Amino acid sequence: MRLSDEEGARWGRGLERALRALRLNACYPPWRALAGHLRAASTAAPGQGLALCPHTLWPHPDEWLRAVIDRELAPSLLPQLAPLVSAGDVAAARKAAYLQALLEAGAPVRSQVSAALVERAEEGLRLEVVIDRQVPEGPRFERWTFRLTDARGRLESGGGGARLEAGLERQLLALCEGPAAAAAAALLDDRALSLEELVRGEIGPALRGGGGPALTAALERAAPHLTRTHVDDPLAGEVAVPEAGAGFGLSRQRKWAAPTADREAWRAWLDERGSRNLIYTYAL
Amino acid sequence: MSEQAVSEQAVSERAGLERRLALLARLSEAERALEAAVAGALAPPARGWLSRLLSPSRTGAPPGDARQQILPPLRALGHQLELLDGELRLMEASGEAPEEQATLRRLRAAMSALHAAGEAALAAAAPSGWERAAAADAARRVSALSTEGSAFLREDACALEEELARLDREAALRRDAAAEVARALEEER
Repeated sequence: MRLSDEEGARWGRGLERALRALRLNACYPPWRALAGHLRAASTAAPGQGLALCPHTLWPHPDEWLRAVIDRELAPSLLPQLAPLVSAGDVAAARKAAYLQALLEAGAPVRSQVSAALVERAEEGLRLEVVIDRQVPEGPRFERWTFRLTDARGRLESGGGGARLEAGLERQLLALCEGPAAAAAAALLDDRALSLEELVRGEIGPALRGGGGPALTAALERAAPHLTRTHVDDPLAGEVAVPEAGAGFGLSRQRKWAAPTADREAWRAWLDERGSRNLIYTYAL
Repeated sequence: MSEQAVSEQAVSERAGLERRLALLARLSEAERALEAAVAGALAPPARGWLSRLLSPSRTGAPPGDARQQILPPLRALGHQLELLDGELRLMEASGEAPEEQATLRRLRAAMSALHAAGEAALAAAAPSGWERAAAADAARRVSALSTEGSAFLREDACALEEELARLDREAALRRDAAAEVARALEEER
């Protein structure tokens, strides 16, 4: 699906406002950085319009890539365009404005892993590991937070802070490829690790409403202290849930941010599906 | 035309030539980078029979980031082509150097063909449509057009350098003549 330059800019503005309206806490990828990234991806190259991913209605992965590449090229291209702009070339002026807008939009979001020591306990190191992932094929943005105790104390210092030992980092990164319930089950099976809680915050997808984009965000929590499983996510399709006797419970909810004018329509849509998802509103 | 006007015109002509030479150098860099990226991303991996058997991608499909390898130099080339278009628009508006315009247009056509071949290579790198023969074809076409583009670039750069040398010679002659006049005036005094 391809929008014109103007429609694309309007859609991007809507997504950005929705992102702000979602009131995302630290369990989600940092929304301010993502807003900048989104602004860059929605800034269409002059005359080329904006392609949206049909499944998520985020800018298409190629648009994210284009924004990242052009942002990197901008500092060298702008001085090359300057003589053409000062000679009154309109196309060059539009291109320079596009590159300038990209530079002002903010740095692109990158995947990263961070680990913090919570406590040196008798049974091992209590850790909080946060993994921010940008999956370009989606595009999907998610944050996984693992609170666990590692009996083998695999935390190293260096590079200005604590760092997970590479083997443990790879193990946790591999778990992020699958559903949260499967990750929790795998961690509970690991004798060296003891899982306190696993939280996965995901931003997207967006849906098209009459007044503009409705952006959603889902929060999933798996933990031994959760005694039951509760899923309220009408967009999730089939959610992998823990089997009886798995030793942990799971909760998953989604929240929405829609234009004020569309609120009632989305409420009715959710009611029809028996969902009590929260809807925040924003003004376009 | 006064001497000052002649000198200003020569300075502006020289600035234009230097700008276009720099543009050709950047085009040449973008062309080489695109050829290398396409070859790296699409050429079938040179593997022994054992690694071929053990490899999960026995079809020789490109790695997931093949598009990410090709897109940066392709966009860089696209930007340089747009700069060349802008340069041509300025030259056309000022009616400047019609032969040079013709040369640059010929180069523009060669580089456009290369850019189009790069886009085809990008499409061939999409994992969904991966086909070994199509990818090899796309890589061969980029390589051939890149060679052709390089020849045009070299030829055009030579022409621009000759033009710069001519301007330098004329400026030297003008300086000599001015010095001659100054000397004559001095002697008269």
